[in-house]
Amino acid sequence: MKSIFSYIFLLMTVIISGCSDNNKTKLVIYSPHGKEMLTEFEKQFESVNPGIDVQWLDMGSQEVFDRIKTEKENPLSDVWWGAPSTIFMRAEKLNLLEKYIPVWADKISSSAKSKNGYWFGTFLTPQVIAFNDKILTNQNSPQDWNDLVKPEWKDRIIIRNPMASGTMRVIYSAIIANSIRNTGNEAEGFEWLRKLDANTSSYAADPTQMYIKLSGNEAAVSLWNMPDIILQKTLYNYPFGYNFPSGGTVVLTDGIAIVKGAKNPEAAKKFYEFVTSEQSLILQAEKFYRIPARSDIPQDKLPQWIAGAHYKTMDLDWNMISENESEWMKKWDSEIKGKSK
Amino acid sequence: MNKNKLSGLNIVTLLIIIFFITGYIIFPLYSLLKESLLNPGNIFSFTSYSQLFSKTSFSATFNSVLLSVITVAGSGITGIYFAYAFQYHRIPLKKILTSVLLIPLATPPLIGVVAFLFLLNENGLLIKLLSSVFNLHNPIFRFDGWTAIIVIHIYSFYPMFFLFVTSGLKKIDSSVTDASYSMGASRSKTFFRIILPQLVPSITGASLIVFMASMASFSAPFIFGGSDRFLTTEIFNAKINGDNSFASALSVLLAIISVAFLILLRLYRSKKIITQRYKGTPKSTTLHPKKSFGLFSTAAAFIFAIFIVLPILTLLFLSLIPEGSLMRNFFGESFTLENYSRILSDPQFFEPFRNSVGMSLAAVVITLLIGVSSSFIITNKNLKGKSILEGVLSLPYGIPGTVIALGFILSFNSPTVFTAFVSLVGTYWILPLAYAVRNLPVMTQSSVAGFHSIDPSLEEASQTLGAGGSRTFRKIIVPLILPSILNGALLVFINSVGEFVSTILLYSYSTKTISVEIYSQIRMYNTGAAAAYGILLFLMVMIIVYFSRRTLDKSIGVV
Repeated sequence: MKSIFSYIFLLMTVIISGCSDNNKTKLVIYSPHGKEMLTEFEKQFESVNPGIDVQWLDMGSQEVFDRIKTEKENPLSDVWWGAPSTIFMRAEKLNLLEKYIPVWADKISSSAKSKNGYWFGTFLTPQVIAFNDKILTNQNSPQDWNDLVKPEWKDRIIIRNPMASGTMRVIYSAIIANSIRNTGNEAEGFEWLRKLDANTSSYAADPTQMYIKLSGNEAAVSLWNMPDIILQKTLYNYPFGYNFPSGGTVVLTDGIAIVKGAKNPEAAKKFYEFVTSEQSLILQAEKFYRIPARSDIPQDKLPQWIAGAHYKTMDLDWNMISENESEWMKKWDSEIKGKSK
Repeated sequence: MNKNKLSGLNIVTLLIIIFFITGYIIFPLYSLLKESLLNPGNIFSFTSYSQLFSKTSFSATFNSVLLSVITVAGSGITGIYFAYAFQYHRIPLKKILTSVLLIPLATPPLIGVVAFLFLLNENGLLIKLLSSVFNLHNPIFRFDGWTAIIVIHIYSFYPMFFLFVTSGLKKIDSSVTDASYSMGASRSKTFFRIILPQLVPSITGASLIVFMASMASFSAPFIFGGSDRFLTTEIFNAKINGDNSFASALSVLLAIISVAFLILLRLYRSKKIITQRYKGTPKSTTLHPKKSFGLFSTAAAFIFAIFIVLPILTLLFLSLIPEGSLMRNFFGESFTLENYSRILSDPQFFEPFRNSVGMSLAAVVITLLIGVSSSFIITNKNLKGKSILEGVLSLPYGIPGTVIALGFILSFNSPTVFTAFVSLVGTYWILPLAYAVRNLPVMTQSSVAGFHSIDPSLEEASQTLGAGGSRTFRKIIVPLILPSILNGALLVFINSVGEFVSTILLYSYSTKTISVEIYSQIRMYNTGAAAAYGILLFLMVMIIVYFSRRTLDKSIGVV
């Protein structure tokens, strides 16, 4: 009988005493930017700042927002790196962000930053129509938004679960905002989303599940951001191609902010400046296909593909999207999702 | 030991128990209820409840209930069939097969989900193998939605039926079945007329437990649900969308449905105890007369054993393949222990293990303290409101992990009396506390059973022979109840160490557990790392089960 206690005691001691707390400052980053980019910048930053241990959690930006809201009384993160500007606008209103004005603050257009200095834009991210290029080509895949809801794409569309994805939420909300601008009300936008739902074969639980479904042996199509599509194709040989919607696409501004009540504000500022420096932005463009939001980066230092990416930007009212997104998504979730099955 | 009076120590213990119950069971439920009755402007309203009557909430509720019914039916048929076959048919290697068939009991649900994902999704091993063998271009079938969830549910839950029905069959007097056969009744007639009616209590018990487990299931619907709605995933979505009020209303609904089944289970249990008093002397069972049926059952048992082992083998296979592109073939690559050595050497990879084990042990300690002391009071003291205490202690069994986590977030995101005036959200302790609350009923029931098994005459004998109260307690009571309590502790540990449902809502960077790590490795599609974590967790649980079973068996033998 004593033996089991000694086992448990031994196990407990070994495991708990395994704690080797070092004296480094722990800097916690919440980010949806993916492990490749996060690992790269963790290493680079730590090599310049050996006293800081960067720890990141990779989550959808909507999940980051929910977490920071939940942790309001006891903030557990320092830097929030990456979310559409619309989410940052809401976070600013809820008083979840710490004001910080980076050294390059005036090198960015006023639409890509907070008026009060709570968040700043990092990248411009165009959304694309992605497709499986084992079967489809740029010519016979959907060219514009309205192609997606045509009958020939029935059950061929795969969508990342929009509720948890900042990217998908912005795309869906942009459709509604566009409808309000063109027709004066939401109805047409929701009708389009209803048709899209009818054509959607499945909703994927996370981006990777979406990539896998998209890369199967079917003529599948999805909506996603351009950088991730190119990155996954380059790194893992996913069979992906993409089209910019011909009539104009949603280009969202990705941003960065310091979390209100961050435990390590000084280290957070260092990281903030580090990942938004000219050098870092160029590397992010070269290696991770991100288009810098800063306008002062010389064209010739940026990779060729940026100049070659020709897309039309959809003109959108970002404030309206930010204010109504939750309500629209709730309406989509309760009245449209899965209703056409 | 005085049966009736409460000593000073008892009163202090009772106060601690009441403090714990109020703080960690009642207060979180109260916070949920309160939140569900507030609209976004923090004004009292029934808005969230009126949304429950919308078509979507109705379909989520309907789907959850339907899924649970199908799960119960599927697991029931599978479990009853194999229990019957193992009892009455000649099957070789019965002992080993039984252990294999019970593997899912010790497999955390998330591991099952992940293993099936790697085996059968668009990029799964089996699909790749079949496509390359038959040179197919279109996927043979899609493992998604309802089919996927039901297969995984049956995989995880059928052992409940297997166990319950096996013990039910052991109690059947074989002279009755023999009589039936000798009077010319066919096998099926005997089964349906004689055996099945006697199994009703076992089947009812297993059905209720599986129904509640299926209602609370989150991982499978979350990963495979697609556009179908279920209550647990709807709660998660509402929370993510920032609508805490609606998430709470859904939680209240889910809790009410589950608690209703919990009450049914308790009613059934109290009835069953009465029927069990009639003790017969069952004859040893006779094997089935005809051998042909034994052949069929043998084949079925072996095929089913492969189905049980295949997902675990998939994990093992993938954990031995180096990380790299997903789009490759997977077959014909050389095996390596790279994934394991990385987990075991890198402190960051090892941290989730330390967290999971430490938190589970902490949960065991908390449930031991609260569970054992309350069951001592319940069984040994006369106390007004004892049944209320018992009822509240069993309540968490009917409250799904998602609901407990949401209640904890709402209650403990600001300092409270119960948390020594600190905010618990994001801290280490919120996780072991959530595990402890969810598992408190397991511990309480195990130790109540232990205390019940003590014959009062033993205590009296000890005292007559001159032993004092504490000596009697140490020498007589403790050895007698220890096996039940250890059994309870073991169950609490297994349930906690791979817990995912509440963990996903409560963890933070420094409190990542194995299950969260597995989930984020899947998100990044590091198959190797996710599989290696899965295998290590599986092995850890298996080793613990094996050793504690041996110790338990020994100690029971001594008694």
